[in-house]
Amino acid sequence: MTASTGALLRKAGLRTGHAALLSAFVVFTATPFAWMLITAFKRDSDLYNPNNNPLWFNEPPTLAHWDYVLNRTPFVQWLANTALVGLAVIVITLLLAVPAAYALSRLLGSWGERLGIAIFLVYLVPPTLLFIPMARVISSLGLQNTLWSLIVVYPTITVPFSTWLLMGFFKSIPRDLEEAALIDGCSRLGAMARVVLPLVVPGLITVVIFSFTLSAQEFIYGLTFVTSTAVKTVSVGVPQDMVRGDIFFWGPLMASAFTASVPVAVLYYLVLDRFVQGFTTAGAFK
Amino acid sequence: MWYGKSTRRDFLKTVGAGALAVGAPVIAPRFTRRVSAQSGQITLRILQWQHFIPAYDDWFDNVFVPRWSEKYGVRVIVDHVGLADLPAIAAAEAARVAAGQDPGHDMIQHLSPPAALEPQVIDHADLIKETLAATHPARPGGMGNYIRLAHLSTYNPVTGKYFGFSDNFAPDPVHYRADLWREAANRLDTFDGVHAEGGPVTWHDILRAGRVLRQMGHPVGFGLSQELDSNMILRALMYSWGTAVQDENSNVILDRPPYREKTLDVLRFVKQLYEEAMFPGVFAWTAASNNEEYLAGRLSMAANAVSIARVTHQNALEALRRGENPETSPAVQFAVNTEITARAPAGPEAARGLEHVMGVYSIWDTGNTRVIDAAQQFLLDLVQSFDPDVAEAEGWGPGKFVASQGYDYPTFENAIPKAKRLAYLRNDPIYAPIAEATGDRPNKLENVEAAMDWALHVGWPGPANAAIDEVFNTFIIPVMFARVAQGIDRPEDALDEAAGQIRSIFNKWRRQGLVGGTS
Amino acid sequence: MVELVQRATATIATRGRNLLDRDRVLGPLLLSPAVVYILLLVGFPFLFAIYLSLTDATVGRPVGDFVGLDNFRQIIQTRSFRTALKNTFIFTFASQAIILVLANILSMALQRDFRGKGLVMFLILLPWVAPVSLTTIAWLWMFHSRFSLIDWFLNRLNLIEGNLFWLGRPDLAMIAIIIVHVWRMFPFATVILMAGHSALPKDVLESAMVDGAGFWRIFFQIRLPLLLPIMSVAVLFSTVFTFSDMTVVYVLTRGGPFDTTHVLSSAAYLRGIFGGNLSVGAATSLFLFPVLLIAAILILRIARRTEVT
Repeated sequence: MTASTGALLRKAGLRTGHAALLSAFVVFTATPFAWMLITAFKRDSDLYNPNNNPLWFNEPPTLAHWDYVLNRTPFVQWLANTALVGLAVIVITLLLAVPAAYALSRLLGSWGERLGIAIFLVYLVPPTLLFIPMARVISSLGLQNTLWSLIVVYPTITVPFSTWLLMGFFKSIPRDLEEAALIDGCSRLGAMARVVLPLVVPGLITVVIFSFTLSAQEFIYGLTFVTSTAVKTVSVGVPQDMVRGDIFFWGPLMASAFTASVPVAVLYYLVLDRFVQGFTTAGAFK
Repeated sequence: MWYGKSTRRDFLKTVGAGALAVGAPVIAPRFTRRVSAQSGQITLRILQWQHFIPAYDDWFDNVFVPRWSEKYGVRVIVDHVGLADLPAIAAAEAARVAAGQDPGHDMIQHLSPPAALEPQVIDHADLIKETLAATHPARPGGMGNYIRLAHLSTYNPVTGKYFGFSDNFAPDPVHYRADLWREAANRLDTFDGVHAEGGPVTWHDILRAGRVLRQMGHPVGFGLSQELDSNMILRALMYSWGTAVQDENSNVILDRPPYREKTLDVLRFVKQLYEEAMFPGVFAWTAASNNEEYLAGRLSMAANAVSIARVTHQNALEALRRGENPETSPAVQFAVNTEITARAPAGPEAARGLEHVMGVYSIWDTGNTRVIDAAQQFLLDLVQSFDPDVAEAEGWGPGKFVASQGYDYPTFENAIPKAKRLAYLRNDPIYAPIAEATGDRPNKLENVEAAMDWALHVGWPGPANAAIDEVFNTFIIPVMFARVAQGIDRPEDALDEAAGQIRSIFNKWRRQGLVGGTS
Repeated sequence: MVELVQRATATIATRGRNLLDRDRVLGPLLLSPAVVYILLLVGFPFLFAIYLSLTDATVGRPVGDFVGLDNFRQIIQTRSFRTALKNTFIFTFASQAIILVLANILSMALQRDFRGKGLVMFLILLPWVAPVSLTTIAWLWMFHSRFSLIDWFLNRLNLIEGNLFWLGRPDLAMIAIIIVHVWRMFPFATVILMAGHSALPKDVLESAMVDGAGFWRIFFQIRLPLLLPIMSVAVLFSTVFTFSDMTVVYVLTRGGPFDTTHVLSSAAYLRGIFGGNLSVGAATSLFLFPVLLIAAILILRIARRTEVT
C-alpha cells in the first residue's frame, strides 16, 4: 500500500464519517417533521393500527386531513392573523428599537452601555410572570380578544432584545463616517438616516426576522388574551381548537403543524447569513 | 330536588299556577319579553368547549344558535376551545370583570363547577327558577327537579348564591370489551362477574378478571395522571369505598377517622389494581388516552363518557359503508363487543360513579342587563331544546339530547323526560344499522340511563365549592394515588401530604368567605 | 420638533459643545419611546405581580388582602414547589450541557463545504424556527403511549418489547423533556458557534497547523478558548429560553407523571390559573426572576472578561 492510496483511503473514510455524522444530526432534527408530513397524509385506520409501519403508507394516502384543515377549520384565517400580527410587531419594534439603540450606543456614552444592559434584562422577564397583570393592562386599553392585544404585547419581548442587538451594529460603524457627514452639513438625525442606517441593514433584517418568528411562536400570551377562534394565531389556534373531541385528531394536527412551520423556516433560511452576522456583531460581546 | 331558599313545593305551585294562567305556548315569559322588546343590536358572546361529540357542535353552531339568534334578533358569537384551556381563559376573563372591564365573552360553559369565580358572576337563582317553571306544549308536564347533582355543583350554601347554571351533565360509565371479558370469565372458573348484559359489577371483579386480562395482553385502563378522566374515576373509587375529600358541611375528612382507613384501603386497592391489572401508560394518561388505547385494542376496560362507544359506532358504520362483511369486519365486531356496564362498579360500601363532565354555564356580572337577560333566555331555551318534540316545534333540529347522541344528560330531569330518553336509547338511530347488520340488540347504550341514579359530583357529599375546584384543578387526588401505585410513597405518607395541601386550600378559601366548614 | 432642535443648535458656535448639547437632547429623546413603552407594559405588570405575590388574591378576587411573605413561606414548604425548582435546574443544565457538546460537534462538521450543505442547514434549523407549541405536539405524538415512532424503532431493533411509556415514567418523562429542549435549542447554538468559527483568525490556525498541531490540540487549545465569548452568547440565550419556558412541559407532560416534571413556570400556571390562586402563582413564578438575573449578569461578566484578555 503506497502512501498516496493510504491518504486517499483515509480521506474517503473521513468523508464517509463526516456524512454519517451529519446524517445523524439531520435525522434527529428532521424526523419529527417527516413524521408530521407522513401522518398528515395517512388514513385514520392506518394511523391507529399499532401493527402498521408508522413510516409507510399501509393503506393508500388520503387528503382528508388537509381537506379538514383547510375547509373545516379557520386555519387559513389563523395564518393570516399570524402574518398580520407579525408585520405589525415588526413595525413597532423597528420604530422603538432603532432610535433607542442609536441613542444608547452613540449619544449616551457609558450610561448608554449600562442602560442597554438594563433594557436587555427586561427580555429575561418571562411571560409566565407577567400574563395575569398584563391581562389587566390589555383590557384597560380595551384590547382584549383582538389581534391588537398581541400586537401591543409582543414588542415587550422583541424591543428589549432588538435594542440590545442593534446597539452592537451601531457600535461597529466607525464614528468617522458619521462625523464626515456632520461636517458636510447633515444634522445628527440626517447622518443617522443617510449614513448609519444603510450600514446596519443586516441588523435590521435580523430584527425583522426575530420579531416575526417570535410573533409566530408565542404561546402563553396568545392563550390568555385571545379567546375568539377568529382572532387566534397559528401557534394558539392549532393546539387549542384542533384537539377536537376526546381523540386527538393527529392527522389534521400534524398537517397544520407542518404547514405553519415550513414558511417560517424558509424565510429564516433565506437570510440566515445575515442573521448569524447579526449575532456575531451583537452588543456587548464583540 | 330543590335546595334553594324556597322549597320545592313552592315552585311546583308556581309552575302549576303559571301553566294554568298562561295556557298558551309561551317559553319563559319574563326573559322573552325583555329580550325581544329591545333586541336589535345586542351581541351575545359565548365561550365553550369543543364537544367530545363533534356532531353536537355542528348542531349547536349551525342549527340551534342561528335559529335562536333569528328568533330574538340577538347576534350570537360562539367560540370553542379545548377543554383543558378553559380554566386559564376563564381566569383571565374573571380578572377583567373584577376590574370593571369587558371580559371578552358574556358567558362561559365550564366543565367543572367554577366556584372560585363566584364574585364575578351573576346569581343564577332566578334563571333556575324560570327554567324550573318553563313549560312547552310539545312536552307535557314540567321540567321536574333541578337534580341534586346539579344543585350541589352550582350552589354555594355559605353565600346562598348560585354561581352557575348547569344545563347538562355527561355520565361516566365503564366501557368494556365483552369478547375479552367472556374469555377471562372462562379462564376463571368461579368468576361470575360478567353478565350477558350487566358487565363486571364490582371493583373486585375488575381486579380478579383484570389479572387474567392483562396476561391476555389487554389490561384494564384507569388513568393515574393529571387530567380529567383520572380525577373522575379515582373519586368514583373513593366514594365507592365510602370516603371523600369533604363531608356535607365542607370539612376535610379524607384523613380523619373513620374515613382515614377507607382512604388508605382504596389507595392500597388502586396500587394493587395497577400492579396486577394495569400498565405504565396510565401515568401518561391524557383526556384522549382512554379512547385511543381502547380503540387501538389494547384495553379491555376504560371509563369514559359514551364518546368511546360512539367512535366505535362511527368506525363500524364506515366499514359497513365500505361494504365489509359485518361478521368478519374488525371495526363492526369491535363495536358489537363494546358494552357499558349496567351501573357504576361497586366498592366495599356502595356502587358510586361520577359525572364525566359537569356542563355549567356562568354569566359574567358585567352590569349589562340586556346582554345578561339575553344570555339567560338563551340558556333557558337551550334546556328546552333537550326535548326532541320541543326542538322540532321550535325549529331547533333534533334537539340537544339527540344531537349529542345521548352524551348530554339533562340536569332538569324532565327537560327530556325519561320515556323519551329511553325511546331514543332503545332504538338508537346511530347504532341501528349496526344492530341490523349483525343481529345485535339495538339498545346498546341503554345502561347509561342508570347514571341518573349513580352519578355523583366532584365534592360529594358536600357542595362543589371553590376549594374543591382548586383541589380538582391542581390534581392533588390523582397525584396521591399515582405516588402510592408507583411505590414512591407509603399510602399513609401520600395521604398526609395530600390532606395537608387540601386543608391549606380549604383554609384559604374559608378566610375569603366562600367555603364553609371548620376542619 | 426635530427641526426646532436643529435650528436652535445650529446657532451655537463651537462644534464640540454643539454636538454635546445635541446628544444630551437627542439621546433621551430617541430613547424615551422605548423606555416609556417598557415601563408601561413590563414595569407596571412586574410590580403588579410582586404586589399579587404579597396578597391573597384569587381569580375571583384579583385585589386581595396583604399577607406579607406568607405565600413564599407556604410555597417553599410544599413538595411540588421543591420538585419544580429542582426540575427547572435539571432541565436547564442537562440540556445546556448536551447542547454545548452537540453544537460544538455540528458546527465543526459544518466548517467544511460539501454538496447539499444548504439543504442540510435548512433541515437542521427547522426545530428552532418552527413554533414550539406546534412542534411539541409533534413530539407528543413521537412519545405517544401506543403509537410512538421511537418505540416502534426500538421494537424493530429488538431492544424493547411493547411500549416504553415515555410520558408515564418520571425518568423517561424527564429525558423526553430534555430531548425536546435540546432538539429545539441546539440548532440555535450551532448557528452562533458557526459564526464564531468563521470569525477566528485564519493565520493563527494555519500557523498552528504548520507547527504540526493535531486536530484535537487545535480544537482544545486554540479554537475553544477563542470561541468562549461567542459560546457564552449561545449559552446565555438558550439558558434563558429553557429556564423560563413552560410550553414544552405544558404541552408534553402537563407536569406529569404525578407532578414529577413540573418546572417553576408550569407549576405557577397550574396553581395560579388552573387552581385560581393568583397570588401563589405570582409568587411561584417570581422565583424565576433572581435566578435569571444572576445567570444573565454572570454570563455577561464572563463574556466581557474574555474579551479583555
